[in-house]
Amino acid sequence: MESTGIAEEDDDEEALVRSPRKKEQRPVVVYDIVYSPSYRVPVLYLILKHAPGANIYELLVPISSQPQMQHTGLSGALSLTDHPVTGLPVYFVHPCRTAEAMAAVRGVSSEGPVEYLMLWFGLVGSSVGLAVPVALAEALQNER
Amino acid sequence: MPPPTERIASLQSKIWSGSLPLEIRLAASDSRTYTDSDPYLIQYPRLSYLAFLLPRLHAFFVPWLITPDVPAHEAWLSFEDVPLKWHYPAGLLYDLYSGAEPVNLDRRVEKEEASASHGTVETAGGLAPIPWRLTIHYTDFPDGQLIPLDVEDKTMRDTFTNAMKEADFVRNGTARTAMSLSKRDSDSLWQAVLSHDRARFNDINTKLLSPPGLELRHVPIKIYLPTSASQTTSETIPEESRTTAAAATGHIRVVQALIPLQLSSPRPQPQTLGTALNSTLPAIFPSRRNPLLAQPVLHGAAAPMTANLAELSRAAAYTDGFLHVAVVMLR
Repeated sequence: MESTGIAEEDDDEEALVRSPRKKEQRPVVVYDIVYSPSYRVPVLYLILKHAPGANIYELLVPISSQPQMQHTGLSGALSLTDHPVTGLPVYFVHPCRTAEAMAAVRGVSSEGPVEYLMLWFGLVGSSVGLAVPVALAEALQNER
Repeated sequence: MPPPTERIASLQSKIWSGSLPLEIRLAASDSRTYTDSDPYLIQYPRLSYLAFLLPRLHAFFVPWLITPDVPAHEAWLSFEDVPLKWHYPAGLLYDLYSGAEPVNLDRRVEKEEASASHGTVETAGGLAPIPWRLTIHYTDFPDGQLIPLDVEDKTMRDTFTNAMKEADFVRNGTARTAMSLSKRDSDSLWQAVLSHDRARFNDINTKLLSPPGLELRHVPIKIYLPTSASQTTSETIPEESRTTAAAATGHIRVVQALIPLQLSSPRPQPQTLGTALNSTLPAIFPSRRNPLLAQPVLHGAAAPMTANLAELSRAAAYTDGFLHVAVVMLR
């Protein structure tokens, strides 16, 4: 899954005309969702591209969630780890609270994988700029 | 035969005393005198983390540095051009990359009778590469491959704490014991890791190992498979000799699975290292008792497949609570 991050561009008409040498690459965030055998929940990994030295919190976390994110743990709920498949260093949303939070939100009825993931996106994804597009959410709703 | 608790404590003590002789040299491209700088020699605990050496290394090498203003925490270490991950304990890195023959406990008696000195250890297969020769670099930090450190050790502490919470979660199905440690206790635990203080470590760690009201369910274990670059993620047996596979590509596949304390079939029995490996990686460990294709290596030794996994965990887990087992293919 790919989602473009926020690039800093002014709205000046002249900015549209750029020489190829000056063309900036917009920062890109790649979201990977990998199931954790230890925590038994999906875990969200974030790979930042074309943004050397950028602060990931500034790029991703909506202003409203920022203080909350940074109070959990030593460096906020985003930590660094090795990607479970590539082995390269990436950010991830620590899953220690995900399982308990999911259990609290799900309620009594057992839902299928689609409903589970929708809830998961709301819990885990929303604080790091990952949300299910409204059109998709509506389409899934209509399918049921 | 002393009761299990004493044996476990005695084994834990030996493992904590385990250390590696390191010979660290400055990368020629970072040195004003090219290859003439002195090497830094140290006997370093297997259970500790190499990042803790950086301030001392900086102080030692600064007379030779082309760029003496580079902060200590921006350095990085490599073995044969492979950048060494900061959050892997020194002993695990050695087991994975050095190419050393794992000590086979049955054949150790023969080795002791035949061994010469001169800074090498003769094992059943050949020579063990000690001192372990590493290179320290102060430029060209491999951004995509290594987690960057910070001057206050926050990154090291953060990754350690995450691993510790994960081990706790694996053991009990909840990480609340680890998360509810008082600030004093968690600071004390981290201090114990920094200073390699076993007594202080155990003081806090016993709270994690025996949480009141919680039943131990699974054993925290991570298995490391050296792979070749062309392999898929399905388990296969690497074709190159094990001494070059990990070092050549640097890529290690980390395998994790939930391993319960007890096996339920064919009949209830305690989980052993062999049964855990056989259930997780049956193509590499087809037998539950005998290493036919590969050996599990823990702290430099070929760990016995028949070892009770829960006891092995209490004696031989690293400071983050995990058994980090390197898989070495048999020739």
